[in-house]
Amino acid sequence: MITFDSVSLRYSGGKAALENISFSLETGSFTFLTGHSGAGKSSLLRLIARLERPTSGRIDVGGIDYSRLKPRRELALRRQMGVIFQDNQLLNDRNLFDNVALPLIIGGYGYNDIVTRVSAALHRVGLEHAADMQPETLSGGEQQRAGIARALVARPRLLLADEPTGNLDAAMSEDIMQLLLQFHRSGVTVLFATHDTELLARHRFAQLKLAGGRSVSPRGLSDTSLAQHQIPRRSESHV
Amino acid sequence: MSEPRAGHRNASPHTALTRAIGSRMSYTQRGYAWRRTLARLRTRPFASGLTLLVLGIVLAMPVLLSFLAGALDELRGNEDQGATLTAYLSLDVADLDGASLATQLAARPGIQSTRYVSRDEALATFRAESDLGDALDVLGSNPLPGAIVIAPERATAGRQRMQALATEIEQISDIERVRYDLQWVERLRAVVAVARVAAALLAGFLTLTALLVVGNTIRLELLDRRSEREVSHLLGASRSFMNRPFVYTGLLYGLLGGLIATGLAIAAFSLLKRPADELAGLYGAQMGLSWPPKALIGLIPATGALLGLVGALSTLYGPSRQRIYADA
Repeated sequence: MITFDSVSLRYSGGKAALENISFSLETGSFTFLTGHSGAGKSSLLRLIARLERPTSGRIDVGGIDYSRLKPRRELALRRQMGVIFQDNQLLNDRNLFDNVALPLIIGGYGYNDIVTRVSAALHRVGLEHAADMQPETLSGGEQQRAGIARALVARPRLLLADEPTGNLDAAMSEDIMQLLLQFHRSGVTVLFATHDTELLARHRFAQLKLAGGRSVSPRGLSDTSLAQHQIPRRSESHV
Repeated sequence: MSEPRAGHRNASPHTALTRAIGSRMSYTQRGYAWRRTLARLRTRPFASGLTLLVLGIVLAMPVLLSFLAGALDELRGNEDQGATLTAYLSLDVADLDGASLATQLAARPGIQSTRYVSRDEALATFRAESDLGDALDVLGSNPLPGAIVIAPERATAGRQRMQALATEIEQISDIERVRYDLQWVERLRAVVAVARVAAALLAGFLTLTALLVVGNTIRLELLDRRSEREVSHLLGASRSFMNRPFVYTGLLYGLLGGLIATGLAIAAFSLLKRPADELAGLYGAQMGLSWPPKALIGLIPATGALLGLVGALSTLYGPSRQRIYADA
């Protein structure tokens, strides 16, 4: 589903964020993207989300060659992905319902569809009771769950999670992890960037390791085919 | 991270959802943009109010000037139309001859109408309008001549044409002299012409100021709502989706600024009208400043809205957009 072929990314200052990265992820896989801060994890996710363009190399997501992608299609492509951030990026000027509804409004969904999907998404992450609350009044774990609800409300097939447990304690991290696993079981492909070694030890999924912008072959796993350790797909997601 | 509110935490999911869901309209893309725009105005009433007041004042000046220019134009037109020549007849011309001469003059080209004022009528008017009526009794006889008040056609109005007409009429044997007083109308016309150019220039500058005020407001809004734009961008929003609330903000500021300007201009015009009417009366004008047409007043908020829209669009899509987006 996701293929990187000799991809490099160099920012305008000349600093190389990624160098010669090649890998391939299968549809429905759950993959950890690991590495220390500054290793290039966020840059790699931004490339997949088409928020950055590679300096060289080829990226293919779901059969779409990014080099041939027209700007209008880029937006449509991004709407088909779910993105979760470390700082959840919820908007404090509106309640939780409206935060989660934003991707659907952007996507031009109808009112009934929005109400149904947002209610279901909040229910799924256990925040239905907090629909009318402002994000800043929620705990860190709840905010992150709300971020997950927003990322998944449009039922994307691909979820990019950029250190979603970075600010959370071990219990909350596990809570978030279980939630992501639920979605993964319903068929969502997950690429989870983290440097939380405890989390990595508890959940043995395929890892794509980055160090200094370069791919480091993970122990026991090939970085060109990371389809192993998938959890079997269940029925379609309810979110 | 602050603690959750206990009350809401105990709320049933259904209640919370019912409270959270906005109107059907607010989940359409345009409804969403309006909702965000109005929410911003509500959450920052002082800053928004100040911006609106500045816009209102800036727009009020050209509006007031246009009111005054229109009123002066109308006043000038009335004076042009009301400008007359007065031909004074010799004392020995009989009323019948005077009236006949008036009829003959009315048939001449360039003259719209004439009215004969007999010696007796002139005397009666003089007695009524001056304090010197008693002095006439001392004279024993009526010293006032008969006169013909000549209203030239509109095309004949103008200092040179009136002068030519007066010279022509003065050649008639029964007429002693012809008097006309158009100097103040000519002066008013010149003053109005200068005032119009000055008003147009001032209006141009102030309109530009209004555009800059709206543009700067939008620019600040862009910086302030940076996170919303970032999140929307990440979620796949198009530029037009992200810009729409700002376009509506400009439109709303312009519309409300235009309404404030209308109110201010009407208030200022009301204050000016009375002394201006008195001044016009001193020059013998039959009417003073008249109110601008309602259609013109109605156009002001619409013009304000248009200016706000142009200000917002030029900020969002104009030459400086790259710099703004880099800042935002």
